[in-house]
Amino acid sequence: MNKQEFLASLQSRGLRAWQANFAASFLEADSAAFQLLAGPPGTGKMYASIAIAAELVSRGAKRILALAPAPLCEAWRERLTDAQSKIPVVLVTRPVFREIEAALPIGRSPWSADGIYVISQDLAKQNDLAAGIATVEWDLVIGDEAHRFAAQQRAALLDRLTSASAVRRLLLLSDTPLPSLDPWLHSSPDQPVRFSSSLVVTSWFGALTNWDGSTVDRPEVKLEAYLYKRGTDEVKCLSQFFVSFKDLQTCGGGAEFFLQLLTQRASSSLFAFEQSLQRLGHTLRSAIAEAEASLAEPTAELSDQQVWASADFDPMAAYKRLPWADKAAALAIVNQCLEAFESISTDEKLSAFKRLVRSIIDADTDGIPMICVFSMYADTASYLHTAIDDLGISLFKVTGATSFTERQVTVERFVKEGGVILGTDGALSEGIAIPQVTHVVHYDLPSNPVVLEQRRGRFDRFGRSKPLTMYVLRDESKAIPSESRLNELFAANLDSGTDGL
Amino acid sequence: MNQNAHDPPRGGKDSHSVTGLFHRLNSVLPIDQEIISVLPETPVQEALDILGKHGFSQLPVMVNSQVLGLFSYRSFSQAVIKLSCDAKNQKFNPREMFVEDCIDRPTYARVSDEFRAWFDAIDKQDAVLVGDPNRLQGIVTAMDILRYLYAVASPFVLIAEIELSLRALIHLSVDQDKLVACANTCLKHYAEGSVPTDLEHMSFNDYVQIIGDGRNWDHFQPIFKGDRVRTRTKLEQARDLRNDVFHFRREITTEDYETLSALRDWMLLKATAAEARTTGGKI
Repeated sequence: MNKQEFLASLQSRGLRAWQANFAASFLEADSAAFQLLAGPPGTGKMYASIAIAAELVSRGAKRILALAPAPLCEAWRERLTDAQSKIPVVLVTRPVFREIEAALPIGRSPWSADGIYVISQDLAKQNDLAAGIATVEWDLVIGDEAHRFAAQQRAALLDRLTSASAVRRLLLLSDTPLPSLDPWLHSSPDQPVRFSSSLVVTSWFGALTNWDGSTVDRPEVKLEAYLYKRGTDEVKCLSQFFVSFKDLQTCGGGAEFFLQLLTQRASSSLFAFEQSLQRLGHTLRSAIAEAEASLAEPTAELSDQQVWASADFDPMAAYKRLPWADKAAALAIVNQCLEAFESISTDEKLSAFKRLVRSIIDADTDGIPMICVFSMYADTASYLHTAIDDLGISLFKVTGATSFTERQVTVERFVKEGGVILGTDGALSEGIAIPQVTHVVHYDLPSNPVVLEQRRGRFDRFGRSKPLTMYVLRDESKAIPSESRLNELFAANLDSGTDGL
Repeated sequence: MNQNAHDPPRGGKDSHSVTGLFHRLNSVLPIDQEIISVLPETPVQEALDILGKHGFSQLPVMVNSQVLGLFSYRSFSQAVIKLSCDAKNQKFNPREMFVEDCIDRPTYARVSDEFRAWFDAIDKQDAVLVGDPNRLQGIVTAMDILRYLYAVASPFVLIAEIELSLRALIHLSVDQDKLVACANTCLKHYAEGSVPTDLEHMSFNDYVQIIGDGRNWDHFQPIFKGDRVRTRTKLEQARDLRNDVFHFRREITTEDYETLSALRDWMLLKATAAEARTTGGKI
């Protein structure tokens, strides 16, 4: 198959021109071995990579390694399985790895069998796996969300693979514009050179062209702020909690992280905040009980800076650290706040949201609207699902609790029936595209601009034709100061597109 | 299709092998277990410090990837007794011993073994090594089995507590006549005349519908307090997790477990308050 025939076959499989052109050039005999593809979410980097992997397998490739963030592994496994059937696709978890290893004669590498192995970057970086992976030759290694390899242990994994000459072809994918990757791409004098041959960078930031040579239009994206004002009881309860918690004496680092986590939850929804407090109360009660039984093991005390600065920062571990010297006092504050919650009869943000959704539905005279509501938290998605179940329109919900396949099925039903789909960042992430959506409501805003870009990438796909309206709910009471900064960041991001990141 | 003799497990839609659904040692081994070993020439004081620091009871003694044995408090104390007897009247200082003086011979299991087959061995030696002498895959202790069984069983216990206490709170909120009226108001998925009239014949979802319906909320607000939508969302979360657990749809996550625990605590609080009110006590 020559290049033109290959391009035609990719076009017939639904790939867009820029995706197919990249795949074809990557597969040319004289193309660079190590490549980085950077492009905004929504440009289909995953689709291009899957096409490359499938084509390499059809040309005789035996071993392919896909290193993805854990939440995306299932999507990679599904897509790679669908794209080819010649060699098995294995999602490697620790138990699966043990099974593979135990079934082999001693001395034989678990990676010696033909296969496409999908491994989370955090599992692959572990010493025993990283050592084994580097002992066999890979026809292709794909590294998704390449900026994550800047973290120390993940960078060590990549260094190990490349320095052992274990990688014939490397394809790194990134949503991050190139300047922000500079510190990682260009090693400092005291660091080893990361790539044995030069890394060729392809950027999809900027103009992309269609199959007919025309420039891809970016659809109009409108931003609307929907104003509301938190009720007096709500503001009182929130401020009382944060003032009390700031006054608590801390031990070790993590207090700042904890407060930010709770602030984000409070900013998301009253329900998410209440649930966080319930969980925190449970954790505090357990910690107090363990301390009373003298079973609590002292944890190493870290400063806030150490907690945040760790390249392999684990939010769950930080959450478990409970940074307060007097846990009983912390529990008393949590209980007081939960009691105060019971007397709050309003949720002005929720009411505003219901009015907003109602107005979108009423304004849509063409048929059933396609509305997507985003939240950072499953708690908030569940809350909204309950709150709007009387709208008389189809409702769908996807959270991390559902498998990638189930999420795909739900999204397909939504696309067919229309209505409202509620999703979390983790669930509606890479591998799921809904360009049919006409209205997106950001019920809360993430502090990480990359997450915001990924949200936008689900709908603002290159090549979509319909206009898109995005809504943010803006609290005029300013009860949570950090919300104003997030709103500004969101508006700036939307104004400048991905270049503004 | 050219396949090697040792193909990895097939990916497919479900990556778990069928045998992986059974409770094998592979399930018991902690996902994040990091094997820490000592060299035979390590001074015992250093090895004992490692045990204490990590809260371990034993350490594999290894040279490169070859396991030579197990060092444990047990092997250490046995060696001390033996060597002190051998030393007779000579000066004997346990601190001068090395790990190689106190090595136990370990037992090896495989990841595919059923863990109950290893109860006696673990009872005797505190741990079994998983893998082979030159390919150690992990260590299973009695605590690993206890933690695993607790993780498997505790969601069922939590859900039972939540469901039974929810029934009790409904009983405290409405009498039989009101319950029937509430059920008739909102349980529209039953054919006319077949709406269940007692809680024991209703599903968890029926409880959620009854309590969370705006037309019934006035009956339940005095017990559940707070806001109807938030209460209903909590109960729906419990229902969804209950269905996932009881129908084995998926493994629940740490966050799910915390949600269940928090819901159970919330129910306990409501039950305590309701009981105190009915008995005239104060909370």
